[in-house]
Amino acid sequence: MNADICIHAWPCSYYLDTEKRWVSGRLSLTPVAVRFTADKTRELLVSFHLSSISEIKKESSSLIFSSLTILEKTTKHWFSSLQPNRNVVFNILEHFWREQLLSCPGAGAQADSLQMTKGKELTGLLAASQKRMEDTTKVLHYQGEQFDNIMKGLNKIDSEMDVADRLLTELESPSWWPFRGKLWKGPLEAKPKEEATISGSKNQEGVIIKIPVIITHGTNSNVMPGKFTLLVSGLEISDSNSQVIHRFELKDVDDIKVHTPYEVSIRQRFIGKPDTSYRLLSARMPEAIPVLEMQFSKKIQFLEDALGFFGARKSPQADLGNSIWQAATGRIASVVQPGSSSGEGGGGQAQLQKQKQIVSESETQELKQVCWASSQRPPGLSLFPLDWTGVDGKYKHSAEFRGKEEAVEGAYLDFTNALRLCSLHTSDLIEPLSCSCGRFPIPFHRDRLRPDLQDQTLH
Amino acid sequence: MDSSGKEREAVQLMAEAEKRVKSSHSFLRGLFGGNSKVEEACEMYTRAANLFKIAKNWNAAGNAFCQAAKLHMQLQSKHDAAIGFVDAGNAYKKADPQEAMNCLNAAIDIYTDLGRFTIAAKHHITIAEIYETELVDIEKAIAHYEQAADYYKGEESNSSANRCLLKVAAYAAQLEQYQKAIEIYEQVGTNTMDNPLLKYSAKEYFFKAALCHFIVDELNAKLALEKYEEMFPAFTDSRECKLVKKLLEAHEDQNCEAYTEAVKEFDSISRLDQWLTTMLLRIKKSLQADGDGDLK
Repeated sequence: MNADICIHAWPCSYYLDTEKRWVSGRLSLTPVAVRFTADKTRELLVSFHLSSISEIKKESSSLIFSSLTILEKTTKHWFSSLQPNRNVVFNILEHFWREQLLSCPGAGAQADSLQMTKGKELTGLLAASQKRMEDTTKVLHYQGEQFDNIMKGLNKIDSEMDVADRLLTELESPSWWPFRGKLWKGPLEAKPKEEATISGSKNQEGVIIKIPVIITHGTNSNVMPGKFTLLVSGLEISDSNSQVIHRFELKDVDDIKVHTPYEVSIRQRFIGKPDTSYRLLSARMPEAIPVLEMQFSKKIQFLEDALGFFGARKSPQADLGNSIWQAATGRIASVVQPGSSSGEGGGGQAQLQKQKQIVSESETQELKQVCWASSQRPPGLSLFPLDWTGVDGKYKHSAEFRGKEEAVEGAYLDFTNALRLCSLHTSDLIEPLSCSCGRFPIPFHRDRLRPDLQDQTLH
Repeated sequence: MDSSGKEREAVQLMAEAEKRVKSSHSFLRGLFGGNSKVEEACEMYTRAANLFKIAKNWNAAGNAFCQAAKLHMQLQSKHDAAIGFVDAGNAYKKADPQEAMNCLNAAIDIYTDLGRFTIAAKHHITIAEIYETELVDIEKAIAHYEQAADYYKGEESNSSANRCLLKVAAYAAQLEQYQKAIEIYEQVGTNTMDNPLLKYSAKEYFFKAALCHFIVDELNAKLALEKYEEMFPAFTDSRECKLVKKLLEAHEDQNCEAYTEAVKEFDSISRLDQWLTTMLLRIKKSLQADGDGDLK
């Protein structure tokens, strides 16, 4: 086979990138190379081996001229005004290019190997349909994500509407009215969450968490030490002498920005006067953020740095959800339990009912259920005496927890987290489990446990 | 003609708008309602741009949109300005790709300022596509795709991020930056294999990663293949994995015919796309070169 023989030649024009103009000439194809010679000068402008082509494409230059582009390593060659037809040239070029790969230099034409058997045809059909399925799943997944984004956007709009609503009611009420939008609001609001009455909330101390912080007020550059208290009914910022500097009611908070995992700013907007905003810096902020996120899910906003941090720490999104929910459930449960028991003594139960803002017992149950469902526990989960320390040393769980449901729930979540990160006392299990694949918790079924442990199953 | 009439009208509107802007600069106007003048000018520019669009004068349309966007910036309405820049970019795209990219970049700056990274990422993709098709600068296209992927990841839009990353990987492999391509394919492969919906395409990514390994060094490819099989057992049964194994065997024996035969068989069932053809050809070329070397 002579490598220099010209298989085909087409008159066309070629784009000279250096001079920014089109040259007319002939595009010729030999069994191993593509060449272009200019008409006028007879010089060989392009010549490359077929196997160095990385892509042949039908494109249009400036959206008007149909042309053919050949990507050779990093340079792209443009051919246009192809005659007789661009498609013809494209098909022939592609055919010879592929033949480079598919044909053997030594062996002659092997017509027999091209014969398709029935089985092969079927496999081909199957492969094609599988390919389509793969493409479909990809698109489906992409669309699912778009829906998620839409939901997020809606949520955000919703929260901003809340703010607008509050500001509007404030504007509507006459200026001499001492309660400024507080009493107006009660009957108007449909959502129980917003039905907050202010009276009495002062003495209702449902402290979720209290952390020492460094406070900056507004744009003021002064910093001072203080305390940040997360209550079930709001947020309280106090100075180092425990004097309350500012108290945000739940609905007063307009947005919370998480700058870094250790720094947040809380803001309340006003019309006609400067916003009240505090910037808080604390080493223990990571403990408070999950609770904040739960209380102000719509209003909290993670800025880029914080996102990056959270993203790096827990790459699968489900984990982020898990741990936050789990931390938050634990906190809320621990707050409400003492609250309700003390309430029984002083007739506080009724008060608790009236104050719908405060998380009631039934709500806690519901919240816990939601948290639990969101942690994707597999059915038939069972527990076994475990004695381990979480990798980060934060969680210590032992068999004592058995019997206390919420603790056990937490323990399970921690367990699944920890399992992924370190090897555990898997001797407690009948089958050693490999935890390298999958980020979902591995279900522990009763029958997979040692028989003497089976009575300790949860459900 | 109708369109020439429209164009004339548009030119008139442009002149009028310019006058409004100038008059708004005068001192007294500036005190009383200068802004409303600017607003009017904005609207006129947009109308002129639309008329230019009808007349298919893309350059002029882009210019008009751009002016409107700049005025919006003056009026502090950032969203409108960004939308204006995007419109300008779309108009310019058909006539002056470089200018289109300037406009889109301006829009991206505004959007990132506002914290709307998803939209910014989308426009990064548009720019990358312009680089890809109009101004052939694959390196820059890759840079923009990467930026877009980063933004998408920040917003937890993993699917969109993966799309961009796969593009990056395909181009990186074409530019012979195999290490980068391998990293991306492996990463995307591991991410997708746990997803019930996407696990079917994971084998494709591992296949591509293995091929990239193969071009660099066949021993690496063997190790990588073993790793992938361990990570993702379903990969073992796939035709792709079998093909790579056959190819590795052929390469070991320096058997060009066996190599071709294996590729041919694979191709007869599902046609190889251009990317795969390129990569397989590169391997074959190295094989042939090695073979020749042995003979001599």
